[in-house]
Amino acid sequence: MWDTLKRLSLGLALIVFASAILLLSDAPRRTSLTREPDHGAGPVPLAKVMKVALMQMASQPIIEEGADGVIAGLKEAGFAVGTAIQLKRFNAEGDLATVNAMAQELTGGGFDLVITLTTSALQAVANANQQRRVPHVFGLVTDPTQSGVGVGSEPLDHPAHMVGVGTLQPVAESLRMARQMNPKLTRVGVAWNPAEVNSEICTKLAREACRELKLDLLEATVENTAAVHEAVASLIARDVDLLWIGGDVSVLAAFEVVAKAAQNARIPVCTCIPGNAKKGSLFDVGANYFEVGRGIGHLAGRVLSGDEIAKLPVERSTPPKLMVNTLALKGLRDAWAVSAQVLAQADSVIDEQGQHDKALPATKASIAPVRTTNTDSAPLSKVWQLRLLAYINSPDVEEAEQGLRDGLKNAGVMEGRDFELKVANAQGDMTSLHGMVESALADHADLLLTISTQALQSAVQRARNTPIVFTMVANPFAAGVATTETEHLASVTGAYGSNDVDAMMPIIKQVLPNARRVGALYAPTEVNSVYSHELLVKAAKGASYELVSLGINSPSEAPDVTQSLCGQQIDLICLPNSNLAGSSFPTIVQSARKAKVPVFGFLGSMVSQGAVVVLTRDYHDMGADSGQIAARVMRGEKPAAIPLHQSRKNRLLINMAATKAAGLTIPGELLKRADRVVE
Amino acid sequence: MLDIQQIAKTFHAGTPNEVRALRGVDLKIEPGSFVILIGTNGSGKSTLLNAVAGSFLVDTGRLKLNGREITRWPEHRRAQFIGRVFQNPFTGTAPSMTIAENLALAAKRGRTRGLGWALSSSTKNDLRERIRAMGLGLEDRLDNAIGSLSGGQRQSLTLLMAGLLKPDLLLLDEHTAALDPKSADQVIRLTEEFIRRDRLTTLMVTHSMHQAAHLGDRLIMMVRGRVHHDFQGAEKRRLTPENLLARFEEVRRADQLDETAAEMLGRQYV
Amino acid sequence: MSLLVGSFTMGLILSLLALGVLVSFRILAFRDLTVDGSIALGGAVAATLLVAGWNPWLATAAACLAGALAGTVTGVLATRFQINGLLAGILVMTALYSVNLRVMGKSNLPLMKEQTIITMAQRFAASDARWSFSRWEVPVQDVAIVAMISLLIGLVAVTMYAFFRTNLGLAMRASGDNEQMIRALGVEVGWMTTFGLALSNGLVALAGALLVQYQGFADVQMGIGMVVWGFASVIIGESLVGSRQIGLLLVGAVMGSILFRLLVAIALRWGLNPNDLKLVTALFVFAALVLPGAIAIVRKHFAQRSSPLAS
Ligand SMILES: Nc1ncnc2c1ncn2[C@@H]1O[C@H](COP(=O)(O)OP(=O)(O)OP(=O)(O)O)[C@@H](O)[C@H]1O
Ligand SMILES: [Mg+2]
Repeated sequence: MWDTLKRLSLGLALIVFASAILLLSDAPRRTSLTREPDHGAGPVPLAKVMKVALMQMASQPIIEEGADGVIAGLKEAGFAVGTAIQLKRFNAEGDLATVNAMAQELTGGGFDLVITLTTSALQAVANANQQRRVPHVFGLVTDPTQSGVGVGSEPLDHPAHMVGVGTLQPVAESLRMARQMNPKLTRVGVAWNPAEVNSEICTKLAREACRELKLDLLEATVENTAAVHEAVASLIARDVDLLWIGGDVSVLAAFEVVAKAAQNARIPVCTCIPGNAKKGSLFDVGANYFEVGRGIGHLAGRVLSGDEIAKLPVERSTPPKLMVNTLALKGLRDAWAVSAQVLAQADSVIDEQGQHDKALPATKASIAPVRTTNTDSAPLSKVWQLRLLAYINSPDVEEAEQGLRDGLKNAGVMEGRDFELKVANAQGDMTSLHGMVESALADHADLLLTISTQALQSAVQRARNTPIVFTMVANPFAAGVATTETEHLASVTGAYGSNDVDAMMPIIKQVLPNARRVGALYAPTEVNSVYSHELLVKAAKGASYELVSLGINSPSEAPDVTQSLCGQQIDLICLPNSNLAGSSFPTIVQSARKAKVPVFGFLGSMVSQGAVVVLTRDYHDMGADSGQIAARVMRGEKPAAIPLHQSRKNRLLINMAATKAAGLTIPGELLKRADRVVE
Repeated sequence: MLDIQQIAKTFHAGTPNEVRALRGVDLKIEPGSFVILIGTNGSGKSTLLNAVAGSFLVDTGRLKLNGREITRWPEHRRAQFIGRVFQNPFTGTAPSMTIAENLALAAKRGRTRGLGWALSSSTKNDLRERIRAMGLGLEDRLDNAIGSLSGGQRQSLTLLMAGLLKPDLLLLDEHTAALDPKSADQVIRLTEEFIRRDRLTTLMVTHSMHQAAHLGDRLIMMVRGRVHHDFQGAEKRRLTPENLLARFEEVRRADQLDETAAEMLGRQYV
Repeated sequence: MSLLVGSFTMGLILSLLALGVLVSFRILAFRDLTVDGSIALGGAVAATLLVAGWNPWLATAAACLAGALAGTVTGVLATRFQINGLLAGILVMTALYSVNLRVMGKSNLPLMKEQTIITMAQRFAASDARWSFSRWEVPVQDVAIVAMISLLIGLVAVTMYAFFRTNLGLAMRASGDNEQMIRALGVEVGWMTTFGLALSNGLVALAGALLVQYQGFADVQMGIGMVVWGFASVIIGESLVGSRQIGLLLVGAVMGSILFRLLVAIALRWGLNPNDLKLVTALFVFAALVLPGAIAIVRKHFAQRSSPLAS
């Protein structure tokens, strides 16, 4: 026994020693001894500090806005958080299981009032609160009657412990405004998902409104986001004059697709959810969720002051918010016009000079478009500790890093004065990635910047409250940090973008007008590669190419697989990005050259290695986008309120020698467009 | 008991390195007999023992043990009947395991090994007594790794392990060859004691003419993979180390001519 | 303090990997490279089942079984088909790469919202609760995680210790220690090796399952180079306890793994360029290999000097 202990002592001693070193390295950063705020000093507003729970379903910007409104409303009603009431916030981050667990906890006693935002939260709490143990105020619900919790259509027809605010999307208003902008409007197209309750309500309202306005409403239903493209295409084929979107989450998630299709068809899009104007809708008429929140706050205040709930009406109000994007007027097929009256009415207008917001309540963050160069370069109130985490080393990563730095600089925050930036690269080792994140957190980093998907995922997992801004991520949705551009983890935002395979198709058509079969090599083990390949499959189908794809799993397979691909009568190889394609590109291009097959790629370095045409994502640009976003976070915006930004900037690179070797000529028009021509 | 019928074994057959180690060995061993096996280097003694133990399968011939046909049985299956001690003291024990653990392994020779404790306190006491009886003074070192013992001690323990569950057949292959004379005597004394006490059927290989003359009740001399002479009963009892040595000289002289040369000479001069 | 707790958690999780490598490398004397594949397999299976809504404990157990199956395949290749052990391991590891892809259906599976063993541990504490020890703060949830993992590792280690003292366990150890001897005692070494490899890879897959739950996502590439961490932990652990006794070896491997993560954390904390991390790792292992010998020489030297009569 004694011997055993003796033998273990060395190891234990070393572990204790190492732990001590680790602790001591953190000693200067221990939390300062903060005292509990002294309650005795100030006026005591109430005999008892009431406990209020505020529960939200997810971290969408509109929900955050609503929550801010609730807090403001409570304060106006005399219940300032921290003094009169103790507010505890719950966020289920979109997870239904969590919602229910939270609802159990909230209704188990211990709270004097529960406030819920969104329909799912309302339903969960109502379900858990069937014994009516705790008063309940709800909001951000399209139609409380339809949510099945016992609220009737009359204002006073509701359970005695539950009251709230219903906020319908201003469907009729939006259609009326569309008619006002184009009096000749007759055919309105809507794509919607019948599985969404809110969307169904909106669509019903739209049918009524259209009947009233003598408009034809053409509907196309979708099952999920992936089906939006087809649905919208079918609407356009049916010759609609306008695409209209109500409260449909599936369709909004694919808003870019809708906007692009509309742009091609030279018709406008309008929505009932504010914020889409930034992404290309002509206008959004929606609820001002901050105002909605304030209303909920006021109502909650009345409940807290002892008003009898049964005598309080369920309000239905939609404080409007109008956003107009005059840029979207350009190139439209029909005569659309935005009158001065509408512009004056708008809460926010986007034109050539950027976005102009009406004076907003001070608590609300202004939503500046991502790409505007922020000229405001006043120093920040503190020096931010920034940690840049990268997974691997590559020229692209270096470009992205430089972009991040430039983005920060352009946004007016300065290294040294406003922030300190330390860089760590895991050299492709996932376990050290964890160590790097831990170490950054232990270092009390204020903001984590990540390059690549793996770095992002590691950071997300370990960093609970530290904001994260990412870049060089092809698909944040597959990476699990977001479901749509606006619905993402509360502390995470950034810029993403993958190969622009869509833009590549016309280029191929220009260089090889007779090409029919396109060959592709991708790496099935890499998320990004699989994703890029899927995009390519779609794009090729859209451009009516026949696509022949083969997977490669290791660099040593590259020559054989390329040869077998070339043996399948392909006219060219189009290489979606993957680490593997990047590292084994020389062998791929060699095999392809032997078979006289030109290679089109998406990675900058490929052009000098023998690709005919490269359309690369500009990682510097993407980094700069993320840098701008990081600067916004540093200036106090909540990451939750900053939508993910898709970088779209491309660089076209052409290799003349490879072109000649493949016996091709590049049309002069394309040459003029090229950012770089390698001889 | 053990019935060896015409077994043959050729290593590396069909290559330049071909070795015909056993060329048809016939041998019947009665229960309780103690057979000594001698022969020149390379005459096939170890190969014979290995063939019986099942280290490899023989090319031709049959092996029967206790009336069971075991010719095709793998080694681990034959182990339930056979205890072995090897020439090399390192071969018979697991060096990084303790004395007690090694003995516990031997206590389950050829039986199913389940999830029961290998060393319950009763088993341990039992084993301690067995070791004490050997008189090596190892009974207090049950928890020491066997690797820390001397060759003689290890060989004595291997012997104890081989005989722990009374085997039907005990195979000893020059098990004292690697030991100093004192340890060798000690191990031989233990060997005799075990064999006599449990009346074990034994096949023992040795190079010591002294041991060959004084031990056992039967002596078999092997030459070039065949049984050359079989001394039994009174003939065995009369053998002295000296006349054994003389026999050896004869064989050795004959051996100096290789087989083909002997054949050629025979043809020319007869 | 969070960093400390985080390194401990990681060290404990990866100690399962070390224990797995201990079984194959030290106990069976089999250089098994399946490990790289089976840790990812464990992760892939666990993640896929968690996403499919399985109970985390069941998913983890299933992952463990999948790893055992992979080990069995390596064992069968090596013992029944007489393929060189290193090669058999490489074969299975390579095959597992594709298997893992199949299992997950894609190369990266996030577990952001699924209930996992880790979230179950977190449930013991409020998300913002913190403990403070003379102003070193640590989220209680992190402590809950490390406590849960410690319990689990303790359970595994005690079970292994008990197993290696049963008749079967003893036979397995002897198979790696002296094959000839144990065969003569009636044990089929091939079967024992296969069984041992199943055990080893089951443990490794368990490490993978816990790892994905801790890091919140599974990635096909997560196994690459893991076997090295395993070897390093086992070797460091062995030098620490300086004994081949089974109990000490087990504890040594766990301590080795923890110490290893702590050293990495210190290196990172002190601003070591992560580019140099692999080099530093190699140095740790080198030190662990060489120091015990050096210490012994120094000891001998002093012993001789202090007793001149001995020479
Ligand atoms: N596994 C094997 N592979 C190849 N050849 C072998 C093998 N085992 C034995 N031999 C050969 O078979 C012949 C007989 O060897 P064996 O070991 O039986 O001799 P021995 O009588 O035991 O000799 P010694 O007295 O030296 O121990 C030798 O020529 C030996 O080289
Ligand atoms: Mg021999």
